Amino acid sequence: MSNFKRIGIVLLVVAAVAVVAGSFKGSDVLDRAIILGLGVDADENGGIILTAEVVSPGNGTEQVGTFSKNVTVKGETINVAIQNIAEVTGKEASLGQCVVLVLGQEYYETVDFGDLTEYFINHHSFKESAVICCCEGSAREFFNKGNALSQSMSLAIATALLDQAEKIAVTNNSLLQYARSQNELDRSGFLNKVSFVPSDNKDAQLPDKEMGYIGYREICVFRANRYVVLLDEQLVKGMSLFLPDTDGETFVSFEDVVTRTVQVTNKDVNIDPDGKGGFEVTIKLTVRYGRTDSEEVNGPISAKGDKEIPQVILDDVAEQARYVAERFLAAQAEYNFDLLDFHEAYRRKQGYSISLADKPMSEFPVKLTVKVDES
Amino acid sequence: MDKNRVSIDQLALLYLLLVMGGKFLTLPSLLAGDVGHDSWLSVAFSFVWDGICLCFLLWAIRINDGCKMDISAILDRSVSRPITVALMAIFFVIFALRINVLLSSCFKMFSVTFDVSANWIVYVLPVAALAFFALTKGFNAIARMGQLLFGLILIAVVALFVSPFMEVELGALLPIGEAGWGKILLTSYTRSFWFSDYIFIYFVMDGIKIKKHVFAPILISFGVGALLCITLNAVFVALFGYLAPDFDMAMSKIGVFSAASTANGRWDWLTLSIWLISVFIKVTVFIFCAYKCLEKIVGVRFAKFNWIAAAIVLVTLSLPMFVSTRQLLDTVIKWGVIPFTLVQYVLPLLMPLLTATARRKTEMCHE
Repeated sequence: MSNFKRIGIVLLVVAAVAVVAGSFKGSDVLDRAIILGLGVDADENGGIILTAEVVSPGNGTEQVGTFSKNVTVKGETINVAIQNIAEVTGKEASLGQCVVLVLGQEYYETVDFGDLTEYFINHHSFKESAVICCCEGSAREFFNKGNALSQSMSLAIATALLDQAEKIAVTNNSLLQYARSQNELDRSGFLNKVSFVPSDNKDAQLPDKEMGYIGYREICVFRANRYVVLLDEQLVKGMSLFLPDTDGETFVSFEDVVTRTVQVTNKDVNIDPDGKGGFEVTIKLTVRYGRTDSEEVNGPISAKGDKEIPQVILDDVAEQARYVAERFLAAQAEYNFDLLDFHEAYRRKQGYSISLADKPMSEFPVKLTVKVDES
Repeated sequence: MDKNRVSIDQLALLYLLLVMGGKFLTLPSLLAGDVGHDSWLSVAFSFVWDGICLCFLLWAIRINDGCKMDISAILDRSVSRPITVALMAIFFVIFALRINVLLSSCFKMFSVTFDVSANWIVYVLPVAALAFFALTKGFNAIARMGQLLFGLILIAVVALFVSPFMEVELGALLPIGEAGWGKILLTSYTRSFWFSDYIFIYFVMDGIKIKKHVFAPILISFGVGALLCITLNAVFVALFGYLAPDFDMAMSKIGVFSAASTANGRWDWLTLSIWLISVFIKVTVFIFCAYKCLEKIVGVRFAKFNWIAAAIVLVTLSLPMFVSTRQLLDTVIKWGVIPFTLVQYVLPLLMPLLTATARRKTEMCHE
């Protein structure tokens, strides 16, 4: 091959690469409003108010490093509201890194938000594994508490619910799990409820700065994307007893005049259909004395170490566990929601049927057995 | 040295890449739409048929050892030239359709997952350039490429699988066979277009370098590939439930479902990009086969790169500009499964007999 041919081929390849590369329209990261979290509130006109925590990479003219800011827009639908973020930020909204979706109290209590979850679940960039939760008060105000946490509110919620919740006996939900729960079988499911809990400011440098942390020990129950009931801390504790993946439940008992804190370290849960339309539920808890810094300690400091737990305390813990578990089962029957997948258990045995999907929770009798052993 | 020569080990690795490439795009959602959470059973049945046919094809390769007859020579000598041409035409249609379905699925994935937009021609040209370059270098170059990238792609696939597999509750697949066994089997047949990846082996039969083992390496690859595909389908439907039929990009959806990665960026995009290489390798192999089909149809062995044949293949790549993948699936592919069965499932079963017949009529075979 002559040199002219070689040069010609190289030029041709360079030209082809330039044309092809130039034809792929990506977008510069600086032109994108990278959203970490979204908060949704009800608008009085029937639309929504959307608050987005947007992260902006520093680009020389801005702050060096990465920082986030909250922007709030309105829209008739979620789609319009997200488009409106571009108006406020001057950048295209990017949802690929969004880790949390927070629903404001007025919104989730009054609106059927099925179209909202459908939008995000079908969005190609939005992660189905993102956290969805509801908050006390408006989502906008909640996001603006980020300064009080001294960190990104979205990341704080994600860390709390994904990393910490299951260690303190609180279950959590992803967008996918929630969306499925609202469309399958009895169509009931839950969202964690987060709230900002103020704490004392002991910072002499910034004495006026608001400080606090995120509380997440309550759960809101929904059926077909409609709010049903709020489960308080005790009911959530009762629910977690049925869930083998959560642990850290604590019980306070008394040995003579000393208050003892007992902590669940392991759990074996069997929820078996009894073949007569009900369930036989066995919960085996393995416990140990809580550390001296455990929560729920009242009175004298509880013991630490390998001290043997007396049978009387084990019996007391079993009784307490049974009580909170039965309270939770009663709430399920009263408000007719199924967070323990009773319907799913029968579907797996018998297959899907409309009569099964419509079966009320009060028609699932439960024989509950609670056993407590020392670890 | 024959540039189309390929060793059994290379063939096995390439086959595994082909099995994994492409089945994690639109197929899982289509199957979920047909038979719900039993879709993994449909995939399993499809692989059972594939396994049987593959064994027969490997038997034919064993018989062909020493003869180095290509597929058209075998068919010409065992049946007749017109039947050879007809079968090659069917093969060409299958390859053209599969290339287009794969490319359009990837195109969609690029535009919706990575938010990169381009027009079809600009998207197809680099892929075609790669494939035609590989054609000039021979099948051995493609096999070597697969060999080099195999480890990386396998790691990416496993990385995409691990998190969702650890999290999913496989009990959601119960009761087994809820959709009805007849429907599951029928779906396995109606969606057979996505299977029988071994059909590329027909077009490299004359170049296969046989040492000791023929069956073991390829059947192991097939087994691993089948297991991965069945597992992915099971995980996909168990994870997404009623939403599975709506998620037409299974791999991009399944990779994201990892609680650990939720607050740690989108590493699933990296592994997804690496896995996509296997799709492009599959497209390259199928373009090679489509080109070879034309060679067999006209009955001339192209001594050098044939621009006319390449141009015909290139023209077929413009199909998605006029017909959407959905339209293709609902029309040509829906009814095409019947003639396609001939080359996907009937021909392999006959191949040992046909090869033995052709061998008897050939004098230059070495024992």
